[in-house]
Amino acid sequence: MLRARGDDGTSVSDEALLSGIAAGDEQSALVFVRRYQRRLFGLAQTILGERGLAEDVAQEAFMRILRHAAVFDPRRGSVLSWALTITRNLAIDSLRARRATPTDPDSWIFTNLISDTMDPSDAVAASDAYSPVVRALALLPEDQRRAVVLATIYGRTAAEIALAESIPVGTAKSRIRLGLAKLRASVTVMGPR
Amino acid sequence: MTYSRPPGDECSSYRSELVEFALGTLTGRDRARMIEHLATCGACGDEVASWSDVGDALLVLTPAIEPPIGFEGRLLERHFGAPRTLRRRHAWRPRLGAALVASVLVVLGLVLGSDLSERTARTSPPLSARLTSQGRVLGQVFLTRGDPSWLSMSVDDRHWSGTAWCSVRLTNGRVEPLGRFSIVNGVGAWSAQIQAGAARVTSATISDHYGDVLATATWSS
Ligand SMILES: [Zn+2]
Repeated sequence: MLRARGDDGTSVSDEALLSGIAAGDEQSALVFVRRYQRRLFGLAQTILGERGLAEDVAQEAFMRILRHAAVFDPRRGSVLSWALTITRNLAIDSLRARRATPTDPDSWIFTNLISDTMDPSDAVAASDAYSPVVRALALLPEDQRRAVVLATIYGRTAAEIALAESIPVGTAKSRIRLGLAKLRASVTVMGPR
Repeated sequence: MTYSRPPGDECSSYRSELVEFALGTLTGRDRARMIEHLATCGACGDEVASWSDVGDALLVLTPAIEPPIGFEGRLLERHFGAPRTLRRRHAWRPRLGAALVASVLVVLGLVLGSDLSERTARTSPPLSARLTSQGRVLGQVFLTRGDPSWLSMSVDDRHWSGTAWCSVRLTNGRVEPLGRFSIVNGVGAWSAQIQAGAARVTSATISDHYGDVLATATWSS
């Protein structure tokens, strides 16, 4: 039986939890899973649009993280980014395996990140911590914003975006690149790099 | 030795694809060509890293959603209930931090070595070999002699993901499959017993799903 012992581990760093997991400590694993299950499941659900599949993908992502906890390299970025990237790649594999299209116009992404009514001030209010990126995203022309989100979150290739949007591949490539360049400028100015 | 250098003329032909590579959406020959270029070009590598950071910043924006009830229980049962290749019945429990893969494997090799010495009163340092592909070092392999013998492998190459199959070639030319493991975001580490004994191993190979060799480590006899 797995039980939290007293504290919820909120003060323990991600890196310390990964060390504990690598050493086979179930308590570290439990705290880690509780810390990130909503994020990983949320991303899987956002991409896949279906709870059952999202659970499968989030479970598999955690399994890989738990198994490979010992080899996490902080120079590659934060633990959250690492975990989200693993989840995203698995979700994309799952989509591709079923040849499914992720373009559900009711999904959170479409309403909040791609929608043509996205308002920079709303977006900034909604997500303070990442406001530079959200603001930059909101300020992109809608076609660039769609291309950027489809490529970064849904893993769509330029060719796939071109097909979906009925535009030449070169145009899709330049939309991704131009859009992402503006986001990078916002991150670079605000970020610690 | 690797070092960064300013982008050269050859870089311009890769410039337009760096973004897609960083987002993991470059495929096929273009991807293979890019991997080859990045192996020698620090400037383009830095560029890829900065595009990846932007992609990460967007992933973090996705919403948190409560998973179905019982999610964590099912997960932990699956993880801790499953057979583990890296942990034996009398588990060794090193505190492995977020360290370099190579140092993890050195620790692993030493731990396995010391564990064996208790049982066999005969220990020798693990035999290490580099895991290489076309001259590029992608990881490290250790052989720990004893009864049983162990092979431990780490792969650290950020361009790979997926399942890899490992086998060893013995002195009599026979190839013995050891099993498969996952490479996640370019990183994988695992170990397995070698029934035939470490002394008879001449090389270890990892292959992909189709049997194509990804990398090899060879021990000079
Ligand atoms: Zn270059």
